[in-house]
Amino acid sequence: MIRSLPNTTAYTITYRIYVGLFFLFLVIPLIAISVLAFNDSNYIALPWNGFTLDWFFSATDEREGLFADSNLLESINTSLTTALIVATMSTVIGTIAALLFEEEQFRLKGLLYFLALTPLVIPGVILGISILLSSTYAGNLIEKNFGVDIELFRPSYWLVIFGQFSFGATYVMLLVAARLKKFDRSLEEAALSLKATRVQAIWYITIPFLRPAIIGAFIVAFLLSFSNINTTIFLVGSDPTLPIDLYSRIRFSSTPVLNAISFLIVLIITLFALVNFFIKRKSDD
Amino acid sequence: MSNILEIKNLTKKFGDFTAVEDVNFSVKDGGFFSILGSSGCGKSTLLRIIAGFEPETEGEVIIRGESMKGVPPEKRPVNIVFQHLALFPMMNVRENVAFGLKRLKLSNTEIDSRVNEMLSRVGLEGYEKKDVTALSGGQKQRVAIARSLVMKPSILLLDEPLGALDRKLREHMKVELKLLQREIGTTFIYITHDQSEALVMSDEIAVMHEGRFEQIDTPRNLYKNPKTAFVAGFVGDSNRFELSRTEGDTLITNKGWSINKKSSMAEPKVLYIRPEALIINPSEGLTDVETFGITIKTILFDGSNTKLATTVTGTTEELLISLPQNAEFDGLSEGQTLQVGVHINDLKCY
Amino acid sequence: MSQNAKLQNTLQTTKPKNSFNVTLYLLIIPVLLWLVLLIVLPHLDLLVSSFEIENDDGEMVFSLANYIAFFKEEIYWLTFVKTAAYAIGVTALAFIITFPVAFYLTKVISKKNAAFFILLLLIPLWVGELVTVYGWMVLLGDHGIINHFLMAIGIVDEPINMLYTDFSMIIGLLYMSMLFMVVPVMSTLESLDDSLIEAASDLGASKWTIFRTIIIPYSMPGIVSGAIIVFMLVIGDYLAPNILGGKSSLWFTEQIYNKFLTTFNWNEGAAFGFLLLMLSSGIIWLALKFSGQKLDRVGS
Ligand SMILES: Nc1ncnc2c1ncn2[C@@H]1O[C@H](COP(=O)(O)OP(=O)(O)OP(=O)(O)O)[C@@H](O)[C@H]1O
Ligand SMILES: [Mg+2]
Repeated sequence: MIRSLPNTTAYTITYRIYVGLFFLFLVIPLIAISVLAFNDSNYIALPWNGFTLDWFFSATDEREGLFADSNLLESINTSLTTALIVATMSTVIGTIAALLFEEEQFRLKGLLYFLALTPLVIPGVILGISILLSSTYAGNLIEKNFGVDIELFRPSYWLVIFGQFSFGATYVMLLVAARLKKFDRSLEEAALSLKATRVQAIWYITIPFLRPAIIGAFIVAFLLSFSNINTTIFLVGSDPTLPIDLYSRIRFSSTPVLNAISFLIVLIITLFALVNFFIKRKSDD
Repeated sequence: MSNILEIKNLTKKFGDFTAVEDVNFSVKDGGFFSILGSSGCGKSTLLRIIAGFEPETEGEVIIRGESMKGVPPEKRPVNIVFQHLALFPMMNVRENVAFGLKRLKLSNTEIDSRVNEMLSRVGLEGYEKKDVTALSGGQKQRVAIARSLVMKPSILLLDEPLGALDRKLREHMKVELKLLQREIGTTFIYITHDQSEALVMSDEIAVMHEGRFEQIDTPRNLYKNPKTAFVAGFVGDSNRFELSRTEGDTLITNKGWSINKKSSMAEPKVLYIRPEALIINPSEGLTDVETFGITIKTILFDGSNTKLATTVTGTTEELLISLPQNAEFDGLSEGQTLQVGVHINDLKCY
Repeated sequence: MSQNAKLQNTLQTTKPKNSFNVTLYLLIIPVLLWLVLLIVLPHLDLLVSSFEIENDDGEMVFSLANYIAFFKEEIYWLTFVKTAAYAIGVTALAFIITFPVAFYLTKVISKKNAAFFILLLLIPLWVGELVTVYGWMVLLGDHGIINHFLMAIGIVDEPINMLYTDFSMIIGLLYMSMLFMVVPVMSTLESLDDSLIEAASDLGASKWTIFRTIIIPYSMPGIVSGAIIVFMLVIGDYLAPNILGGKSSLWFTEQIYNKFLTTFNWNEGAAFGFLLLMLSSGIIWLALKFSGQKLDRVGS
């Protein structure tokens, strides 16, 4: 059953086949889209017509490759900047929240902590419509009273950022708090005893200790933002993020350029995961 | 010399649990004051109140005549060396020692000179750039002390700073620490559960038990004249006998041993005799020395700390006797009977 | 207490008492802004909006009409019930499919070998739902890769209709959510001491008994965490039902989407949203209650 207990061969082989099938199930859609990104065909389907890089580089009317498609490049750019801003905001606020809930005592702490956790269990769609409703309400109120139309309150770039940040901060908080639980409180007390103020103690001692978790949380928040669609779809304005752009293309006008961009995402994530894997392995040795 | 620290009626409660109960003491400027007690008796709690990490429930901490009520830790003229040192792992030796000085916004030249001076004082010159995680136990210890001392605190609080070291190193550091304190003259308040540390280093020792101070005294007095049964049992080794009754000047133990003492105390309950207070084969004619016979059960060899485990002849009372390691007693063997004497002042009754 | 000492005491309480409070405010204000502006107020607004309709004069008035519409129209509450039932089913499937894998990676093969497979697990998670849903679309379509191979080998003559059915929708939902079951289950299994299993086996327990009496109870916290996340993701998912599901596989989030972005009936949409929120939090609450687990354990 486990490493140290003997098993029948049939059991071992069946088990291995099962796990093998599971991983096949896991990678097959990624392989399928990647392969079709290089198929010399105008349709996203087999048969294999030979290898081409048209869906990346071609700039003809018939085949507009990924790097010639200004709309697509634009939405990639939007997604990247959005994800950077969201990750930064989430990391700052999420870390502050982790410090607050792990280190301070105050009234209503339990309630606030509960609220901070709720984005874990609120479906992203609901977060999206709630923020859409309330920001529209606020926008209308301001317009009626002051006669100004603030773009932030309409579906827009910044509304997407706030929507994604609203749950990103929760994930950062949990990741940072997990490391903070391992923090030796006497280090902070030592800093206080050495005449640091509390803010200095946090800045010079606690934050450096948390650095690995903070970096990890930043990456998680970035990826959450980059791939989000459930919340974004309700808040997006005139500049779509990449997932929104791809979504409308899948629904209305699929070409293999979708495979090209998907392949790029898979490639980058895989490379990133491999680098992470080898760094980890090295530090373990 | 004036009192640098005064503690008045200090009490600390955690909910219903009283960790520190009505503690009073004062420490002279430049003194080495130890608080000795077993694990969990409230030593760290007391120290943390003085440092300002825990608010007191009742009472007052006064440093240099100023009440510390409501003063946060970073504003108190004290520094603390933690039980597990709490060196900053993300900084090297120099950065650890310079940390506090930087918070005081001193000039770089002043910081450099003070750090260098302190590092050479604790014998760590040349280690400035080393990672603190790469140091040996004794070196870490020195960094922790240097880091606090460089702040020139009025009082240095040390919470079992040698607890993490092995025995040999502890013996060594104990002497070094004492010399360092003499040299720089800072007041030390030193917590330990190791009585030998307290006895060797301190000017004064407080024995703490279940949140209370049992006795505050010099090491010699504490050892020679323990005021309570707890102190007698806790400080140094002792033979302990339950007393069933007294007849005039004669103390009678539960197991039927009787011994004379000019007792001033009415109805004592227990009798303590230190193993080293017993004289083997006392010469005739000593005054105030009670003599009696014992039978050797076994010899517990432990170098300079060797003892005889014996029974008092004619009773079942057991008695440990220190055995000096000189040629005179080399011939002793199990089953042998001997005469032993004890000075009546060394019979401690409570 | 002497007069002097009393005076001293009052002076001390007015001193800058300690810097702890400053830190507290510094930390609590941004957190409060986040929670109040982006969590509390929007959801209050959701609740309020769901009880409002526009009257003939264009004013918002209190009404139960939005909820009545939900119960009156069969398609709405049928979709609601179906979404809930499917989400529970997918959660159960995700557990059944992934548990042996989680066990294999933590207990059967060595840590070093497992590291590579764990890496494989993470890639689809990070790639994002859209790309993987698209992958399944490419695989399952009538002209998709699977049908192409089936016909090439000659197993079938006509393409099998897989895409735009409940089947393809469930595949998509499973695929995007099941890895959230693996991760927490693996972390509890990792802490399970092998010697417990060895001891049970030594005492003559069969594999099935060990599994039932030791492994499952021990990993329950991880299973509950995983199940809650999977359920929440599935019930609130929009892409898999929308892209992979057929016309008949309506999902409740699609109803909400239609209310907001197609028919622009936001108030009814708000009511639907609120119902979905109640459904998901209700089931999660039940799961937490029966397992005796805390919400923050779910996130870790
Ligand atoms: N924050 C706290 N809340 C509740 N009880 C506490 C707290 N801090 C300490 N105690 C209790 O107070 C008692 C004294 O603790 P303290 O740490 O002062 O002991 P100590 O003498 O330093 O022991 P040791 O030698 O093991 O360090 C213990 O019983 C401990 O459980
Ligand atoms: Mg302690």
